[in-house]
Amino acid sequence: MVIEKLGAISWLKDTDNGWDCLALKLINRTGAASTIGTAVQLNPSYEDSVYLSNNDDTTMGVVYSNGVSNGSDIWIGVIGFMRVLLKDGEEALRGITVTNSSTPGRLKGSIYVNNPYIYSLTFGLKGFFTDNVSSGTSVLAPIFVTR
Amino acid sequence: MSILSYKTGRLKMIKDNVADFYCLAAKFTNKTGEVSVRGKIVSISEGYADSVELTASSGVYHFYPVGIIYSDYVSDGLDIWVAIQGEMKVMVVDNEFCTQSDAAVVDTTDGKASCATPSNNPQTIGIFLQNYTIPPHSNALVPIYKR
Repeated sequence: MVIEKLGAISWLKDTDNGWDCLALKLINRTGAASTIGTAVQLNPSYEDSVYLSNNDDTTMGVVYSNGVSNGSDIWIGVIGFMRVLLKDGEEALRGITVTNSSTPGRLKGSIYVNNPYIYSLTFGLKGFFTDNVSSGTSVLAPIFVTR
Repeated sequence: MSILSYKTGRLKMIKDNVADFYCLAAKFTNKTGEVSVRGKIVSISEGYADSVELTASSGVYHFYPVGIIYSDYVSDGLDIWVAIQGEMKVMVVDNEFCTQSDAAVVDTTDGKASCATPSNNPQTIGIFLQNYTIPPHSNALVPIYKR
């Protein structure tokens, strides 16, 4: 794994685990140790911080750093190839847009991919699954995020 | 000021002042079914992992554009670079008039763009940077900004 540090924004390359992306360094304010693959949004209660995402419009990235305690710096993938934690019981299908689920921080595919309204909901994190992954518990699925 | 030129495994910055591509690009497998053509619009493939296909104006999987092909003349099944953010050129449908600051949207001709009034159209690929008003022409490449 390589993180080419440029400051608070970096190139992150961990091809063994399917990560190759631009990443931002922000503070984990999820209230728990960070979990790789969880979707996050900016935390309005703390500066430069994120918490688990529960809203498509404001989802801004995916946590790369695993097991980092609350209040410490973590890396967030924002553009490129990464892995997201699916909501339990959800599957990933190639080409399907990624959207939030009823479980904070967990994502799923949008079955209404031809619906512009659903698409607009994914404005915050415009991502697509790049491979098929069967449903299960705490499954990581590959996505490509363009913004 | 410094100029960033960096390449990881599947992401890189492109600065090509001949082709006029100044952008971030991602590497995918060409599964368009043809030799790659610079400027054509692609979506994540439904049938193949980590691959792209030409964006179509309808259909469940090929509806949303992910980027524009940068690598020219690469055989089907091989890796190509796809421009995902920044300045690039898109291939427009034959004899199309393009207006600066209007939207480039996926056309019924697979992989090509037409000109439209900017809107929340999910098939928008970018914004035209110049007027293009010299038909008749075919396979014209017109500069856009994509985010």
